[in-house]
Amino acid sequence: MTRQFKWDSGVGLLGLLLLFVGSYIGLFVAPSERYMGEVQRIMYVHVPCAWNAMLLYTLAFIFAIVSLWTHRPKWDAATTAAAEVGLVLNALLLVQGSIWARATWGVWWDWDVRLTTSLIMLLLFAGVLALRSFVQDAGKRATWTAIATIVAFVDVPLVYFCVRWWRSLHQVQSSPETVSSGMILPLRVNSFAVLFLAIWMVAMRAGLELHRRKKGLVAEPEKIESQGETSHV
Amino acid sequence: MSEGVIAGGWNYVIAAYSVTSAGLAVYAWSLIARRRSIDRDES
Repeated sequence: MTRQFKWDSGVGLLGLLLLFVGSYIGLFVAPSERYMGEVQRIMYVHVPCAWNAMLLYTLAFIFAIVSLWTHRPKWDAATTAAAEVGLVLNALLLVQGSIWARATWGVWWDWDVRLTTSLIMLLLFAGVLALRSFVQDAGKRATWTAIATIVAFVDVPLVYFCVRWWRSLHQVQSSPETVSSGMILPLRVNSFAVLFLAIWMVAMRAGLELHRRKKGLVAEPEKIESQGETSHV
Repeated sequence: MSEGVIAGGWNYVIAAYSVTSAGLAVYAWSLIARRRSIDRDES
């Protein structure tokens, strides 16, 4: 690989290191929970994935607005990258949650409001990426990606607040005051670990997208504009 | 075993951590593979 070592590689390696440390503390050092016992240790990977998935979708929403505003390819690439990495974390959190549900609720899945809105969130952002892959015109693709991302984001606040607004099997958000002090450290370490890994993944994915444009694998907006096929982007 | 307490459960914990590490590793590998493919084409 001829690519030079860059800041994003360092962030990714730091994330990997933190993930090992946080998982070790979570699995072997942190106390077991009073009622859930060892099963509660799933929290140290489930919650970081959930937090970071919602953070990435929020970033994708912001990048989408900037993309619509500026019509610059880098913001379209950033929107796509944030949505795609968010989708990976979203899928992981659903699988982890399903395993946790089987152990504590006795079922793999329940049409509970938190689980359902999380599944809808996954399907909406998968739809954004699917829509993107169907549009050939680079300008239209950027515009449709941004609009679809903004529409899909509507579900993100619902996922976060639904457990407070409606009755749910899923517990409400915990805070450092409501959990044992021994559980806070692995949760925080793994949250930063997933965040750093996600930053590396977004930087890599956005770089790939920009490279595709640069190499002409994707039509440049300016070329299309000169042909009169689109007005912007 | 106390009433209302889940006993054991390590198999669920191992499954959740395995899925997480596998998912992150596969996606990271896909990014690196795509990057390497680009670098090969350029050289």
